[in-house]
Amino acid sequence: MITRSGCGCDGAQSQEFAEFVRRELHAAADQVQPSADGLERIRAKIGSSASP
Amino acid sequence: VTETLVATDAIMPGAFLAPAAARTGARMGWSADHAVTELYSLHYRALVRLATLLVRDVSTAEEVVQDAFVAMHGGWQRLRDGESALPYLRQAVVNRSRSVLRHRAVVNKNLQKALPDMPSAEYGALVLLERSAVVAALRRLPERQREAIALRYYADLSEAEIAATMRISRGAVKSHTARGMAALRAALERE
Repeated sequence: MITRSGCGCDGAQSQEFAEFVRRELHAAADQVQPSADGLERIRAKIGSSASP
Repeated sequence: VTETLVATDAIMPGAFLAPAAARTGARMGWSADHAVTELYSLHYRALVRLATLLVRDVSTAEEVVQDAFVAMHGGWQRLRDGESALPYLRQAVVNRSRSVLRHRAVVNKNLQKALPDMPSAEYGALVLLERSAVVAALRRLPERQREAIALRYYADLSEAEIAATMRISRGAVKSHTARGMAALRAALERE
């Protein structure tokens, strides 16, 4: 694992860990590709919620 | 779950960056339909990715974000200006994600009695995400810590923006973020 042991109280080390977390979250989440019909589904839900 | 229509003067950073036209949409007289179309093109993907980090599967994340857009459409006339739209959407996504997780916890508690340790097919996308040790560790954090970290380090929001999104104080944001980061670090060091 990429982390380093320590108390976490060192500013530079905390900054480094924060950047690591940021990169990992972006790398993981950016794999997510929403379906192409999202807008159509929103419009359909709006239409059905407006119906009596 | 309802979302208060909160306006902030926040700038939208990182993945949530929006052009000036989108931030002033309501002032420019966008209709609710046009606002949905514009904000969808600008923010839908990033909001789904944020929601996926919170609820752990893409299908549910899309439902959560779509419902947030529907709610925004319904409340468009009450939004004070277009700058409120994105904070409103974020808040709706976080609130609805929370509701989904609470409902799922109840359902899983019952399911586990019948199917112990059996992974659900709907978590297929989750498996992909959780190849990341950080995402896997994030999933195990308490709800508020997970939200604060996802909003800070994925959505790149400021403390003030996170506070508005989670409807907590900036001090609480600091506390949840610090505790969450310490727990993440400890979890990753154990692996």
